[in-house]
Amino acid sequence: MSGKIVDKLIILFLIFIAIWSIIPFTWSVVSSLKTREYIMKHPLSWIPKPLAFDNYVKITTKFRIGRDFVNSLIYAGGTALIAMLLCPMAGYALAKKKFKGRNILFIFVLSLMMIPHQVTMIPNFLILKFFPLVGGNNILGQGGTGLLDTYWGLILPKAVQPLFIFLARQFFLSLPTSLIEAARIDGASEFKIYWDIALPLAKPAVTAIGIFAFQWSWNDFIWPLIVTRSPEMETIQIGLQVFNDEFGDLWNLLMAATNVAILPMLIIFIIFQKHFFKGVSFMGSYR
Amino acid sequence: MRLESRGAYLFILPAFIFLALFFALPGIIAFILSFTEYNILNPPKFIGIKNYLTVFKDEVFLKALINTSYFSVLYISGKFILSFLIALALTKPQIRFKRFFLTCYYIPVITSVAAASMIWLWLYEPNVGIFNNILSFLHLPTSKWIYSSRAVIPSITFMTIWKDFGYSVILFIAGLSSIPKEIFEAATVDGAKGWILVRKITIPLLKPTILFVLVTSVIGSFQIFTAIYIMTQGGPANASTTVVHQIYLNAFAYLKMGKACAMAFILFIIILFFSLVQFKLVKESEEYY
Repeated sequence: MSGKIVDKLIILFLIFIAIWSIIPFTWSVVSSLKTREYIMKHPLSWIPKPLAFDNYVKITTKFRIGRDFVNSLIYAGGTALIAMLLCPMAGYALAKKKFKGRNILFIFVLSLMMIPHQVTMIPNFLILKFFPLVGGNNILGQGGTGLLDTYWGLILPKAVQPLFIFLARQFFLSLPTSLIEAARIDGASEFKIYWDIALPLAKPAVTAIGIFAFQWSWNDFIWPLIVTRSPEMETIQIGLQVFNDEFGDLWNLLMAATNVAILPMLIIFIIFQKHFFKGVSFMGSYR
Repeated sequence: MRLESRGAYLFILPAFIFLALFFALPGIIAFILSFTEYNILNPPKFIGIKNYLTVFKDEVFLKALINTSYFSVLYISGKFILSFLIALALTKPQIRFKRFFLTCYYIPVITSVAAASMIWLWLYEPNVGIFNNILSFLHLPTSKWIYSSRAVIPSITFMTIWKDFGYSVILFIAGLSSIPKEIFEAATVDGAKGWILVRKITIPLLKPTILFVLVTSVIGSFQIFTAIYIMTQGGPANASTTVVHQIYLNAFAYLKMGKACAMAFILFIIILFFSLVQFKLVKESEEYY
């Protein structure tokens, strides 16, 4: 009986925290549907009158939200694609192939995981700026802006993460080698073995890598802040901040833009929920 | 043996070119630059350890270190207790709708810091924001939240815990479900119940997960930047400037790249220290069993 009361309290606690997690989003949706007058006059109202759906149209004109959205898609999609292509390949070789220097290369990957991105971001900015033969630079990297303010500048330094190679390696280690050996006896080429046999087996790991890469880049703020200069290149996260700087008191429009910035990740999360939770637990199990 | 190594280098080469160019090389460049004076326009000038000396005499940087530590302590204690309790509650067999609760807790995690900052700027807005309007509706004293030098760090912490705790919940649940059920059953048969069970069985067996959550949280909290940059710009009067905020400003606003690299290395050493502590403690706890 006292156990029953404790159970009820526990459920109340869980519900309370769930509401606390969700209610700021509810409020941002409600606020995004208010007119400017209404938001000032009725700061506590949860039912906007009239419903100002045209706020979501206004943000496409007052605000470069369309362009920003596409830029973010290119940045996040580009990093996810390169990560899913290259990191499992390296992880596979580190797990399933024997070659000279394998252990040293693995230790190299592990030690790079320790370096925080604040250490590398300043030199990476300089590497992009002085990248030879692009963006007006000569062969010595002088004269132009290099890869700064380009999609490549956003994507390349963020695409291959040591953590992704590590995760892929751990996953391939847990797979049996027998299938690979059978294919080898059948005379399949090494790349075919990887592409047709190993990679499909590693689908959970590759999906997790893709999701993490997309999530990190879509949500990233500091790297686009450093790399992009022109309004044409800014990502949606930077766009929110610029909008807030320019029109800080247009809260209804700002909330509409914020909701648009959240929506893609929310959709991906709802579709791939299991992979999110599995991916996180997977990382926790290889501390 | 020969067969297996066939093409191995071709498999790793593309990824390792990226690692060398955008991780290893920048690490080395940052280390070298931290001993120079460099503003991009002129070539770097070697000045020995002067950057490190100026950084430790820089009052704003010291303030940033204090602010970051203050944030870190509040953030970790709050997030740890909250997410641990939730994970304990959610792993009770009689609790239903687990997936629903987890989904709710995880939505702030998949939200960008920039978007979360916008929403909380709006919640904290002193005049038309909802927090102050609820408080004045209830005839309670209002606050200036992030615009007050006393409330700013707690306000940012509150928002950051809201955003991040779901991630720790998942880690704790994964750790808890890896503890064999028989251990709990045996302890229950022996008469252990409630908090005693948690204290004597759960916490010791969960030690590696607890350490992992604690250390990754310390590391994450020392890297706080975006929320500060968007919500306060370090203000009011440097009351919320942080280590990474100072690194950013020195590198890209004041163009003191050498000094910024020195700051980044100090941050690196702090983070490395905590990683090594975790590594050592996990090893010890593994020897213990």
